[in-house]
Amino acid sequence: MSAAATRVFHKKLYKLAAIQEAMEAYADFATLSLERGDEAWTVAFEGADEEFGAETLASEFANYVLAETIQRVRQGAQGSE
Amino acid sequence: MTAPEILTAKDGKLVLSLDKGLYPLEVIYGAAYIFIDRAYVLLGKVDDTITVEIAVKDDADEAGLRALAGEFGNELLSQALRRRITKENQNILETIVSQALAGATGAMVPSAFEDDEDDDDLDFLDDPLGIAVPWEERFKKRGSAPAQPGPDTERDAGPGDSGGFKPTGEK
Repeated sequence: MSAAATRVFHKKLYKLAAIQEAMEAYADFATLSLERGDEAWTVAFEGADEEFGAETLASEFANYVLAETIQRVRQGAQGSE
Repeated sequence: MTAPEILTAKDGKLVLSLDKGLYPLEVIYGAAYIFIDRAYVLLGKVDDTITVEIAVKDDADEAGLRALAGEFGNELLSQALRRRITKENQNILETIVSQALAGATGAMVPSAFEDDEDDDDLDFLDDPLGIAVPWEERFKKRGSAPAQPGPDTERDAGPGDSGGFKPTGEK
């Protein structure tokens, strides 16, 4: 088991739906927990797969969330035009 | 502050600070998306500034990280220019797309083709210009004997042969 890692996603920069989708996608590689703060969501990674490590997994997770957020923002912008 | 400020550039991690008023979020998204394949990108927000944390997937020294910061700055400018051009040409793009879609659905018919509808009552057998009339019949001298029937001339006159000579069999 790998040590825990966390990533903080500011609410004005990331979409919650993107985080939730990423949590489903990465559920097989670690135990993920979501903490809801006033300004940000924090995702903690515990028991990450040894093959990847918690930090690498968390970084890949953050990239996934960012890409999903950007796509959702762009789709939303196209839909509102 | 006019350019991305480097807060940290060590241990394979680069942290930039961006003025939110100078770089809209859409521009930062666009630049960050470009770097996702070769680095881990995490955005943060402190007051009116947005921090961009870029951790390279491969090893990089400080010079490499500063070069990466320059690339990110260039990408920010590129995205900002792209966004501006898109906004300036928004009306033109919408007009072109709407006309293309309307044309595809048949809502708009070019005026040059509208006159063709008058010819629709013509049958395909009609020959108003006499094109189907054989040359021998059209320019045949009056009173002369009819041409010897050949494989091409021995046939019944068709609807397009109106006005042409039809042999009666008398000499």
